[in-house]
Amino acid sequence: MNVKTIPGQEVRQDTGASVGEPWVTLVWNDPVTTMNYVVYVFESYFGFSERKAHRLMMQVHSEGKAVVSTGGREKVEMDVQAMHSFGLWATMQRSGE
Amino acid sequence: MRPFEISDEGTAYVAALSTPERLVLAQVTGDVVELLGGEDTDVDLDDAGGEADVDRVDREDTEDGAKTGATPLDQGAPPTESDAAPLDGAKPLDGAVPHDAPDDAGASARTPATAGDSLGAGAQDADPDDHLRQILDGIDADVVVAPADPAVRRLLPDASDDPEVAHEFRRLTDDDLRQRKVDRLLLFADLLLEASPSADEDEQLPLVVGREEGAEIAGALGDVRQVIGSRLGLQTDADTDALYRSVSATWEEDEGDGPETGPESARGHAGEALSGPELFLGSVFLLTGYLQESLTDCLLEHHRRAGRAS
Repeated sequence: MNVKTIPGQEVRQDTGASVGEPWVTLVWNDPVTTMNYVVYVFESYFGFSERKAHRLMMQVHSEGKAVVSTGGREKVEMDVQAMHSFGLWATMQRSGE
Repeated sequence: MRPFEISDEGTAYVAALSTPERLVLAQVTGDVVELLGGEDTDVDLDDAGGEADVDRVDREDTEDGAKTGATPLDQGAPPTESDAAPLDGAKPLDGAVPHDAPDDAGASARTPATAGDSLGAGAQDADPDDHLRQILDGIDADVVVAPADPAVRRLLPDASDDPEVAHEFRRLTDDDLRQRKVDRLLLFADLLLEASPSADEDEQLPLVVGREEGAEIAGALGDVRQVIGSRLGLQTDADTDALYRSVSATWEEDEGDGPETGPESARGHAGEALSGPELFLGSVFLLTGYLQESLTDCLLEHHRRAGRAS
């Protein structure tokens, strides 16, 4: 499924860690996962553009972590579970923590 | 090994592996299944034995691996160390079998006291029965605890630094995540053992992954790499870079030095000597890395093509 085809979804995700979303999903750098796999996960699961997926991957790689989604607790829980399923190291936390 | 490419019809991803590479990968994959508490029964190397070295494997030990900790890897190196195959240094992490042991020495050297999985856990939680009991107890009591083994913890990490959030997440997801990982690891092992083994250890046999299985296999490869990375103590990107340099240097030496020198040791740029079990696991780490990276390139190409078409 290509999430990009769902109207509105891409717009909301492109706002990143927006004000008012109570939880965020963080993906952390690890020494094992290859860069192209991280890009693949970001494009295929979140429906990010090639450019955005690459930018977030580089942020994970160089800064150690990046916020990849925001939302209510259940939504973020689902995203973290998906990241763990793909094999990425992800955590959730309340916005602003 | 030849990396994955998209098949001509675009319906599959195809790599190529030698028979020893397949057997070693299937073995290590089965070990990861056991670490996750899954049944390893589908990874049956007996069927794949044929004329390859695994026909020396004690079948009872294969059946009973979870209890004794013995696996076919404990049999040590393949019969000939002269070939260029980078995985010839096969032996368990605890080094129970001498690398240059004659073929018939493996059995006598292998006892329950000294044998171990290539990826077996540390002494404090080495008994897989205890581990499984811990999981089952956790389910019964509706209390799922974080895995004690750091390698398993890399596969099922804490989802938050808030203990309440992490615990709730684990309670909700642990079962599903374990099962999904076990299922795709077993699928990978099945695919590895699909081709009939070749007596020619250098012969590259195709490894065919259906298009719909691609993401699962890429995930399985990642899980195997996480466990090996943990066992090798990879903490930083620099550790991983150093491992790549050390292992590749050994492979290059092998190519130049002829049949008399096996991959006994390597000295990386960081000055750290690599030998025996570390070199073996390092070689599997690189091999699975090339497979995962090339498969991921295929998946990305298909994903982006579908995106442009829609």
